Parts: sequence; C-alpha cells; structure tokens
Amino acid sequence: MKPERDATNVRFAIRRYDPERDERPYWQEFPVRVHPGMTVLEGLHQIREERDAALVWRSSCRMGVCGSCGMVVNGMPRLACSTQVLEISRHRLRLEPLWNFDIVKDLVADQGPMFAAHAEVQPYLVRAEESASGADQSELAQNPEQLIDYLQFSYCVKCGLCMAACPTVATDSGYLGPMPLTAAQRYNADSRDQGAARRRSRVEQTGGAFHCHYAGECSRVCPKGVDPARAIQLLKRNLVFPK
Amino acid sequence: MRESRIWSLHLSCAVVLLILLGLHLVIMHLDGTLALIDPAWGKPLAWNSVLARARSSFFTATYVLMLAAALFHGFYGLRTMITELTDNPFLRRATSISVWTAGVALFGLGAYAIVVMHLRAGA
Amino acid sequence: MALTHHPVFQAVEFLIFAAFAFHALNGVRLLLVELGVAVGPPEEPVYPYKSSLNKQRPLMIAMMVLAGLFIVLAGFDFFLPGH
Repeated sequence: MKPERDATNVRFAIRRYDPERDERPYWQEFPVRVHPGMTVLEGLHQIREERDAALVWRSSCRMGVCGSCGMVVNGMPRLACSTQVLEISRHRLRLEPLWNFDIVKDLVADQGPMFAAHAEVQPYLVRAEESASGADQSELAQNPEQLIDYLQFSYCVKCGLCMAACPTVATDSGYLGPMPLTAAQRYNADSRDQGAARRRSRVEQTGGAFHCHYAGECSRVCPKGVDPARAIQLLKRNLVFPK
Repeated sequence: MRESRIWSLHLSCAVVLLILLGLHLVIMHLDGTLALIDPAWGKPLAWNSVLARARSSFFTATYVLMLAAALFHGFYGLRTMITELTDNPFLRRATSISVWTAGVALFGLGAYAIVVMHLRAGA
Repeated sequence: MALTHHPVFQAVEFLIFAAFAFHALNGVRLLLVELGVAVGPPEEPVYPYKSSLNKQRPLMIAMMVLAGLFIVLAGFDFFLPGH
C-alpha cells in the first residue's frame, strides 16, 4: 500500500441508476483517496469497499485485455482499468455508463445489441469449399504481408468504446456500428477467408458501411489502436471495387 | 439497386459537380476575376451571353448532366440524413419514394426548360 | 435585372459560393478518405497510437486552406466596387 500522505482527495461523481427503484439516472458523489498511478477502476473498488457496497460496474482483467470496464470518464469513453485518475483530474471525475447503450444498472451498459450486430457480420473465417466430412484438413499458410492486412483490426477487444463515441450510432439505431464493421473488414482482409461475398449483403445495405461518414471518434477512443475508422473506409473501398 | 452502387453513383456525381458546378460558379460569379485575366471577358448575364450559351450544344448537354448530377447527389444526401434520424421503416420507405419522385419530377421539369430554351434560341 | 444587383442578393450569392467551396474541397478529402486512399494501410498498432485521422490530417488542412483562399478571392470579386 502507498502511504496515505501521498493521497489526493478526488471526488468521483457517478451516474447511478437502479431500474427497480429509480425513474431516471441521477448523480452521486463519493470522496476517493487517490495515490499516484491509481486507476479509475481501483477508485471504484475503494468506493465499493468503504462507501457503497451496492455500486455496480463490469470489470475483469484490470489490464486492458478483456474489454469489460468501458465507461465514460469526464466526457470521453475509456477503459477504467487503463485510465489513471490523476491524468484526468485532481479534483473531480464524472463517471457514466457507455453512451448509446441502454443502462442495466449504474455503470453497466447493455451491450447485447452490439454483440447481435457483431454476429450479423459472420466474424469468423468462412471457407468456400468445405470437405465432405465438414473438416478442412489442409494447412492455410500466410506470409507476414498477408498478416499485416488484418492484424491491426484483430486487436479489438469488443469493449464498445467506439460504439459509445460514434455520432452515427447515436442517431441511427439500425447502424451496425464501428466494432462490427471493423470485424467484417478484419475477416474480409484475411487471406484465409472466403466469406466477403456472404458478408457483403449485410455490410452494404442501409445501416451498413455507407452510413459511416468518417467522424473518426471511434479511432480517437479505441484503447487498442485498432483504428475502426480506417477499417471501415477500407471496407467501403472493397465494396465499391471488389478484389 | 445495391447500396454500394447508389453510393458509387453519389461519388461519381460529386466529381461531375466538382467540375461542372465549379465552372458554373466561376463563369457566372467570378466574372470580375476572369476579366482581370482576359479583358475581353463579357458580362455573363448580358442578353447576348445568355443567348450564346442557350444556342451552344455543349452548354445544353452540360446543363442536363449537371442537373441530373446535382439532383441525385443532393437528394441522396437528404435521404441519408433522414434515414439516419429515424428508425421507423415506414418513414424510411416514404423518404426513399419521396426523394425519387421529387428527383425525377424536377429533372423532367428542368430538362424540359433546358431543351426548350435551346430550341427557341435558334440552334 | 435590378434584383441580382441588390446587396442582400449578392451577399446570399456569396454565401452559396462559400458553401460550395467548402463542401467541394471537403468532398475531395472525403472522396479520398472514404475510398480508403488517404487513410493509409493497416499497420501494427504501437503505443502511443497514431490513427488514420493523423494520416489524413495534412490533406484536411490543405483542403481547408484552399477553401479559405477561394472564399477570400470570391469575396473580392463579389464585394469590390465595379463588379
């Protein structure tokens, strides 16, 4: 433990909501002792241990890998586990559940619609000719140049920060969104994949890739450097000029 | 029509407009600047200038092309905005039908005016 | 055509020209970006991440400077006496 004299007092203003009790979300403030290097997630744990055991959020790996702890910190979607409190503010933090999703409770957003959209783009390797037994035994070799075509997009952890930041997702509930469209490009660009034609019908219709207008917010907030905006523009190019 | 075809057409119209609408704005509105380059440059709204353009087959053809490109590009943009602001399938369908109807009707009216002007100017 | 020489008419005409210059040059940028030309190829992300937004920024700045130049030039043409 860090000595207490290093601690800075930061107020955490948290958007609370319990669907069984509250008509609408409200703000509640908690004082948190913050030492240098402490993350927003550690602050939440401190509140739950010392102030309010009923405070709810999602988190798991606490190292930016699982993508569970996405929330809006002072107006910007971030992962709570890889955001240090003092880098954001020495006075007050405003924590909200991810925008553009329904709220389950407190800081937990309902990401069900995002995962449903993800499933729609068939985010897995699709092979045209399946052997009669259903098992493709051949080896699918890939060189480093072919790997780099999709590697960046495969770092996605499905945290949904891009969905929360996207202005088109905010206005158009039928829009697939940056995460599923990036997943589509990740597999389309994979030299082992042959499913681009099958994904086409979904990603080019209304609510698909052409509803992206390159606001670029997804790439600004992505905690893994996936650059969804780039993926979607490359997806559009391949839709207009098929390989 | 597939959305990617419509979108490609939207981009193609943008390129056409970039050239034709650019020319239109420069010829019609930057006549002062053009006169600096070529002192003999006339007034674009003078009767003889209007008549000369109406007689020209080149101008008549580009008017029709520009009209088509502008209507398609503009109405596609409008349709995109409205579709993104409503999830209602009925409203979306109604929007598509309305913009197609308005676009075709306005193209008919405009093309008629351009052709009649060309013919009456005594080509 | 007295109407077209009215100051309000000319001011609105100028606004149309300015809107065209901005929309057209921003459109050139979007054309290059949305067809995947100006966003750069996929690359291994290394922290601090640079995205396609950084890649297309010089193009965006160039286009906006050009738009500004066209609008100022048109401003002289529209509003200097004698035109």
